[in-house]
Amino acid sequence: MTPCKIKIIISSSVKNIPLVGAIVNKLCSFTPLSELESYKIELCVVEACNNSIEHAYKNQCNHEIEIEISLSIDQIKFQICDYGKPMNGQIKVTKFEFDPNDIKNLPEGGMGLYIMNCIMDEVRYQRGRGKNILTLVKKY
Amino acid sequence: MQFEKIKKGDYLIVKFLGNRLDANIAVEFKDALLEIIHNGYNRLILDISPVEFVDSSGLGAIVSCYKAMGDQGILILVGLRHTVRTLFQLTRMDRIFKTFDTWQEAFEATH
Repeated sequence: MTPCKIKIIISSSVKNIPLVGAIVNKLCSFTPLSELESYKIELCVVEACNNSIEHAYKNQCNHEIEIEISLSIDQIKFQICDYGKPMNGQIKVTKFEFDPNDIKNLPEGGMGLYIMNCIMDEVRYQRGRGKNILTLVKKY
Repeated sequence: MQFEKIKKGDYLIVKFLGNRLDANIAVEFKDALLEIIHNGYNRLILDISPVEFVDSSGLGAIVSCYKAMGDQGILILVGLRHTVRTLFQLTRMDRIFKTFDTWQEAFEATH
């Protein structure tokens, strides 16, 4: 495979996320990743974009999200960038625990980063010049 | 919001006809299901066989509806594709919901 880089820019509306997901999934089909792994990677990028919209931009849809995808011989890398509110510090290894018998307190959110950490080989956050950059790497 | 509904004994079978259950649709999906629950149905079989993709917002909407059904509520999920099932396994939400391949199997198992 010839290494290549693709950049997608969308406005910060959840209506645009299925398009990003479809592109990511299709690009994964050009790698050795299986259908299931491709689905999981689509899920991670969708979760990252959702986080940008919900947390960085507080659901305002007139901002930009950039998704830069780098395909190389041994990995696929995503950089999801926004110019919204920064995350609190570095990404910690998040836990997602709950008591399955305590129905009233079952979590309805807070799963995004946990999912990304479970699936990706690398999850890294940087903030610089007013820009949030979330890097996700999957090796194959 | 596209749903198909079939009343079968003491269960309502609700089939969601969309192919994505994500942040784009989660609120609308949840509101539609909550309306059904508030109309007195607390035994639901939710068929998501047409759904090709679920994100954590979609999963959160399902969990929210389950919580709204109260202690006596039963929410069974059917038709989960192996890709969709992954999200339930990763988040361990597969411990919460009974799942079957079809609503017929779910209905038979509960009777």
